[in-house]
Amino acid sequence: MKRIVGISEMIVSRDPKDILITYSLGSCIGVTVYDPESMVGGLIHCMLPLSKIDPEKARRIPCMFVDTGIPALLDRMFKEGAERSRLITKVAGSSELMDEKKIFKIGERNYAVLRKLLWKNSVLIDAEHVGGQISRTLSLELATGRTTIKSKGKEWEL
Amino acid sequence: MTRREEILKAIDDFRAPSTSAVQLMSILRDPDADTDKTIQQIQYQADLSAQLLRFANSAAYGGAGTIRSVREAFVCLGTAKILEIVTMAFAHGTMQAPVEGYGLGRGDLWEHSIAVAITAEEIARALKIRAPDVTFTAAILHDIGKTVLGSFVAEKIAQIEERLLEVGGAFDDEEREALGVDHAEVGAIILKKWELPAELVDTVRRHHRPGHGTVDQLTTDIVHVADALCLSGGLGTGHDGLRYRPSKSALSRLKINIHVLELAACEAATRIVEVKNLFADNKKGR
Repeated sequence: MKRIVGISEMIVSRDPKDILITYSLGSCIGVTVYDPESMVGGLIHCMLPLSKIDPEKARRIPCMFVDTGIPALLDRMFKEGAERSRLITKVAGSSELMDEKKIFKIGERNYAVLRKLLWKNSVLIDAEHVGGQISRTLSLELATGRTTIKSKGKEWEL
Repeated sequence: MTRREEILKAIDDFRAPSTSAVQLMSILRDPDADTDKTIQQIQYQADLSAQLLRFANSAAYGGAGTIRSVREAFVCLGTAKILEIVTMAFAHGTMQAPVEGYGLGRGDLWEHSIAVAITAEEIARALKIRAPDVTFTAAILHDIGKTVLGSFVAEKIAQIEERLLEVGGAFDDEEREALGVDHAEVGAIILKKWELPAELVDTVRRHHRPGHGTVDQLTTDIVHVADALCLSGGLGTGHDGLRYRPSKSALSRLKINIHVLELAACEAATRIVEVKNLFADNKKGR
């Protein structure tokens, strides 16, 4: 079943019939994690880097922020039986406007916080497609772990 | 006929799906208008009245579920909020269809429009300034030109994409290059034809190039930054993607920094979902 992950949401599943998909990743960041042994997979769509901007909101909607969303995602993955050492992690998003003054650097900040957090959690990024001025769709097939990106009518495997 | 003349002809053929909604938007902005008459006008439109009551009673508008009539809605919310709701309902009717050329699916343009309107309010709040009353309406209508220009962009999309790669310009620059006009100007011409106020028309015309000397600089700057923030977040992006340039002068006039942007995006995000759900519920109820 195709299951849509909205902005500031995540889905973790172990149903091999599921395909997790998230649309219109601009400066937002999308992360897929997959354990090929237990066949548990997850996808998250985070909008902003740091929860300190609204801690109350972060408690209600942890997946809005990278720093609260990623720990929540990993936690759920491990509860479903995934093993840290087997995780395959892929990243998409972090686009930027044509911003000479570099004020709209939400994408860059999302990516920086993500890297730091994954590093702290001993999770390596296996593949990524980030930056530039495009909007991306990211999906994960639970049966195979196949991760794809779609942008401007083209689709490819990540 | 040049391409530009063909487009102007298409604008001439483009009618507001509901002229009464456009009239209503003008009346609601007029401080001298007769409120009783306005209330009657809304009451005659069953769909609009129902939508108005749903919004007035929703948590998103601070409603307590006790507003039973259009008149009570006016008393509780005030004319400015009524105008917001009428404009959103109007946009829901006009900007729902997929827009070819820009690669926007059903509902994408409408969602982008309400997102920019709500984000504009949140930017003003984060900056601790008062946005002019016209801001919300201008933000909702800023991309209405895409509905007319879309089919012309579709014909030229290969050429536009090629130049985007070669020259690396902004998408609206390439619209002008390929067609002699961009979606902002087309939008302004439509709104002018509908006889909407000058500051609204000019804000729509200048929403990608706020520069200097606009009719209402503050409104134009706020709508510009709100649009840029929503596009940056991928809301309402299609073939154009994030190929737009935030204006240096608008950013420095408003003293925008990353904290203001992230705070506004954070607060707007939950409100956008609330408003989307209000319209979605409305459909299910029928």
